[in-house]
Amino acid sequence: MAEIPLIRATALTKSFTSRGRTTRAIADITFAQAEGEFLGVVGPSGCGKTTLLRCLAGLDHPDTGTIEFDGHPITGIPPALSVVFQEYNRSLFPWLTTLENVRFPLRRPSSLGRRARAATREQAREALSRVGLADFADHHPWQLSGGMQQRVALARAIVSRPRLLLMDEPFASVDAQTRATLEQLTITLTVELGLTVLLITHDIDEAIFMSDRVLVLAARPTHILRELPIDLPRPRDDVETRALPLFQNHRRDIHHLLSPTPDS
Amino acid sequence: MRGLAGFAVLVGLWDLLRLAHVLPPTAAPASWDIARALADPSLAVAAGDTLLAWAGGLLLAGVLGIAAGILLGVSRWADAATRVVIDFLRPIPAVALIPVAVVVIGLGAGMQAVLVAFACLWPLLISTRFGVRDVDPLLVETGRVFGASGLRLAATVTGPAAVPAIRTGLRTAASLGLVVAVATELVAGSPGLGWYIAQQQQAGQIPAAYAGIVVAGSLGYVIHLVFDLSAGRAVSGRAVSRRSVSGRAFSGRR
Ligand SMILES: Nc1ncnc2c1ncn2[C@@H]1O[C@H](COP(=O)(O)OP(=O)(O)OP(=O)(O)O)[C@@H](O)[C@H]1O
Ligand SMILES: [Mg+2]
Repeated sequence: MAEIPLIRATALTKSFTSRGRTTRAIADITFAQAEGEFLGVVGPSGCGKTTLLRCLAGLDHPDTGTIEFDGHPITGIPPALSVVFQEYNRSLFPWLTTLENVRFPLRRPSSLGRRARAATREQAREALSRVGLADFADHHPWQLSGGMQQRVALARAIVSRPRLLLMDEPFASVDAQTRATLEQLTITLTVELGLTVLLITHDIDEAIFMSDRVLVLAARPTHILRELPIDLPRPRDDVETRALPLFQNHRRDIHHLLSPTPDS
Repeated sequence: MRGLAGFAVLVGLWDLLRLAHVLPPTAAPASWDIARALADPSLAVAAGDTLLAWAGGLLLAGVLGIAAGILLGVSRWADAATRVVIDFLRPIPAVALIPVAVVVIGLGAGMQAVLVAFACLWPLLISTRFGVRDVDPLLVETGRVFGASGLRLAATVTGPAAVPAIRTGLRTAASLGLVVAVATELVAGSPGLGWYIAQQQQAGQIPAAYAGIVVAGSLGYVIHLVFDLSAGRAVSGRAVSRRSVSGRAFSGRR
C-alpha cells in the first residue's frame, strides 16, 4: 500500500510575539497521517490545537519544521484540502444562501459555461442532502440553527471531495444531542466518501469514538504526549461502542495523560 | 397610511394656526395656495435640475469614494499616507467652498456636481474603508481555503462582506448630497430648486416659494425611502453589518 503518508509534519515549532511578549504555542510536533485514516487530536484548551491546524492548512507558517502534503512540502494552501473552522458560524458567508455557500469551493476562476454551472449546483445540492439540509438550500446561514449551520459548513467542506478534511472542534458549541448526531453523520460521510479526516477536539470521548488513532497533546507549549491506536470495531455505535471496556481503558489512559498530576 | 394621516394633521394645523393669526398670514400662505403653486411647470424643471446635479455629484463621489475606500481599506500604506490630508479636508463644509468653486469652475451644473461630490465623498470613502478593513479575517481565510485568491477573493468575499458598510455610507451621502445641491443653488444661483425658492421669495410669490420647499422636502423623502428600501431588501448578513462603521474614531460626518 501507499508508503507516502498523505500529510506529514516534522519538528514543527511556532511562537507568537505581540507587544514584545512571546508566547510559545507549539514546542515540537512530529506526526504523519495515512490516506483513509481518521486521526483525532486531543489537547487541553489553549494548548495550540488551532495553531497546529492553521499550519497544516497553510494559513500560517510554522517557525521551524516542515509540512509535506502527499510527499511535497506545502507552499500555501494545498488545493485538495478543506477545513471546518472552530467558529463555523463566522465562517459561513452571510450574503450567500446555503446552496451558494456549499457551491463556493466549486466556483473556479475560469468563467464557467451554463452547463458547468448547473453541474456545480447539482453537486452542491447533493452535498446538502447528504447532511440532511436539502430543504434549506435557499435559506441564509443566519436563518439556521447552530447545528444546521455546522451541517452547512460540513457540506461545504466535502463538496469538492477533498483528500484531507481538517476539523477544528467542530461540535464544541452545540448541545449534546446534536453533537452525537453530527459525530455519527461525520463518521457516515467519512465512510461513504472515503475521506481522510484530522479532527481536533478537547473532548476525549469524541476523539476515541471517532478516530483510528489519537494524538494526545500536552498543554502549551504543546508537544505530542502519546500516539494511541484505537482498535475499536467499526461500525461504531453511540451506545455500544462507548460501553466497551476497551473504550473505557482508552479513556482512562488519556485522562491520566492530561490530568495535571499523572500517577504514572 | 398612518404616515399620510400625520401629514394631513400637519397641513390642518398649519391652516389653523394661520387663521388664528399665530402665523402671520402674509408670510404663511394657505395650504391650498401652496398646492396650487405646485402646478407651476418651471418648478418641475427646477426639481429636475436639482436632481441632475445631485445624481451627477453622487455618482462621481460613488466611483471615487468607493474605489479610494477599497484602496485605503486594503493598503495600510496608502491609508497612512493619506490620513492627514483626509482628516484636514473632511471637516470643510462643502457649502463653504461655494465662492471658491464659482470662481474656479464657474456657475452651472458642473460646479454644483463637484460640490455635491465633495460632500458625498467623505461618508462614502470612510465607510468603505472601514467596511473593507473590518471584514472578518476568518471569512477571508475561508475564501482562501476554498480556492479563492486575488481579484476573485476580493469579488467573492471582501467586496460582498463590505457591502453593508458601503450601503450605510451611500445612504448618508445621498441625503447629504441633496442638502448641498439646494444650498449651492440658494447661494450661487445655479438653476434648481434652491434658486427657484430664492427667486420666488424675492418676487413676493410666497406660495410658490413654499411650493419649492415642499418639493425639496419630498425629494429628500423619496431619496431616503429609495436608499433605505434597497438596504432593507438586500439580505447581506446581519453578522457583517453588525461589525460596520458606527462608533469608530473615523466615523461619518454631516
Ligand atoms: N495570532 C496569534 N497571536 C498571538 N497569540 C496567538 C495567536 N494565535 C494563537 N495564539 C496563542 O497561542 C496559544 C494557542 O492558541 P490556539 O488557538 O492554537 O489554542 P487551541 O488549542 O486551539 O485552544 P482552544 O481549545 O481554546 O481552541 C494561545 O496561548 C494563544 O493565545
Ligand atoms: Mg482552537
